[in-house]
Amino acid sequence: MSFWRIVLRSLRQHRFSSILAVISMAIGIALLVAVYSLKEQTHRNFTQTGLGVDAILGPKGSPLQIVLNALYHLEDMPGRIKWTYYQEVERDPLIVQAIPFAVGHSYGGFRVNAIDPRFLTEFEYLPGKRFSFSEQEGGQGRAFGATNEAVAGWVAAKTLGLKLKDEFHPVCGVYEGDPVHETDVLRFVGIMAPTGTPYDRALYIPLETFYLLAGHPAETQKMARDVGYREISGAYLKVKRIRGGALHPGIQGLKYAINQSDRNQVVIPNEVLPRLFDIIGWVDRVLLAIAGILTILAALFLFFSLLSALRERRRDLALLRSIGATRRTVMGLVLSESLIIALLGGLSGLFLGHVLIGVGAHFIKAETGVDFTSGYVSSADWAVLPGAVFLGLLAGLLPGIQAYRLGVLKNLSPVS
Amino acid sequence: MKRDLSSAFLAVALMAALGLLLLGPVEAARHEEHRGRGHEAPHGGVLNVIGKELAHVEILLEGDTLEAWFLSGGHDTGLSVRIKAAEIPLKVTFPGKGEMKLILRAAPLKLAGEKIGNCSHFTAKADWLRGAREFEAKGGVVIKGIREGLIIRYPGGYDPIHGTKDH
Repeated sequence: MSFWRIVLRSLRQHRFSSILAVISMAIGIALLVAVYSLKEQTHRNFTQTGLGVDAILGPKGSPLQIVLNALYHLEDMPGRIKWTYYQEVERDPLIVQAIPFAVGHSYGGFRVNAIDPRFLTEFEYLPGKRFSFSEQEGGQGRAFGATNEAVAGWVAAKTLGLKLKDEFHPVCGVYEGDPVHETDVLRFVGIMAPTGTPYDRALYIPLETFYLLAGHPAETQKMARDVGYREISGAYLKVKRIRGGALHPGIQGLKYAINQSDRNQVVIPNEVLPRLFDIIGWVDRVLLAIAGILTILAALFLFFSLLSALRERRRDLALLRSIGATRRTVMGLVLSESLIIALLGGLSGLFLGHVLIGVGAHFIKAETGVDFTSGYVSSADWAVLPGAVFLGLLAGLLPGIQAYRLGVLKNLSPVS
Repeated sequence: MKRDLSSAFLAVALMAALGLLLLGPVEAARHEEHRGRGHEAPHGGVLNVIGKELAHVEILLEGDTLEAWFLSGGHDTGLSVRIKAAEIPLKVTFPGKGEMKLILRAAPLKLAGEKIGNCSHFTAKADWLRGAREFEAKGGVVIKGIREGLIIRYPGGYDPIHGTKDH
């Protein structure tokens, strides 16, 4: 009987404990894989792409709040800035493009962003990529022109079942129960092609429309006519770049100057979001610690089940030794069982981990518009198989040594 | 039985050691983050303390232009402090070369809403500043309502309490 047949036979004989060991290891590894993947993808999505915005000009307040509101359509903007101040910033030689916007409305649970028309025609959300309404790319219609027109991001349109020429009354606020602009009717003239960014999760109207909505007080409507009186929520800024694509170093001086003003600040998303991850980084660590403990417990369970199986098999192993099997062969049998269980657990865990990510990604995208994919290969994925081999060897080491030291005569003596 | 127990104990000890091995780098990284945080010069220049950490003046020398920003004291070097003076005369000493006069002139940061007489940013220009590697400048300034001496040391900075390095 070949070596591997003996190993497989032994596994079958202890199938219950073997399956349990595989499952417990798979659960621990699945959690490790899922946490690592989500952590790395979150970091990539929230810090590396920048969504085409180098900096956000906004009011004084929490920089994180400004980034979450301006880029991810979450939270509220903590105030407003003067239009004349925005114009001064736009004139700075370091600023390549400045797109003003005003927030505060919603429809069907999606934020309505009143924005400069250049956002739809000139703004690049990724290098070389502008918003499109082309049917070939999944869009429809065109950018808004008149003040009663609107366009929808792809996810918002799909969720709300929007079609071209559909009409709506914007809600003055972003919470349930906020008043509706009953007398203002806006019509969808375009649905943007999907971008895979949070821009898909909003509706867009002309900036001027914000001031002209009939339900607003007179002081807001005055802002449509009087530029000196006008206020906006903020502006997306694109900054000059230097060789290599890095932001012009002068941005720090510009940021310093604006941040010393009474009412305004400049926030650089790629500086703010990593700090968010530092703050909530402990959540990752706790989850990883739990996953690590689960995996170690699984390895311990494997160890104890091998030990228990060894106790039951002493006679069989002694018999094998008596017919010529060497100490190393007997030790190898035990170690091989441990390795097979650990590898099966590792592979199952890897698969289960990616399934978990796929399920979680669906809910995360629905809530935040941010894309996560089950196919992402994280740094943990590469470590799973070597890690499983290591744990398998570790768990099987002591039982293997015991098997190596097994006394033939002592274990073959009659039991009576 | 005894052998099984000692094996079990060894196994647990090995697993625990493995866990600690993994946690070690995590803890080290955390300590690394907290180490080395001192006063930061927001423009990449050199910090000089004014008074007993009442304020700072950050200076940056590029070519023939010296820029100075008046900043808050302590760890608040990200906050500007505005002063009323439109000009700040300085006596600049170069080691082994003697003394020169330099006048820092208010250069308001418009986007910060500053004006001459309510300004945190000053500049001075002189041909002899070009290529300067080391100097000390002395003057005086009224800052936060208090008249204080101004000592600027380049490139090491001036901090009589903590020394010239980060603290």
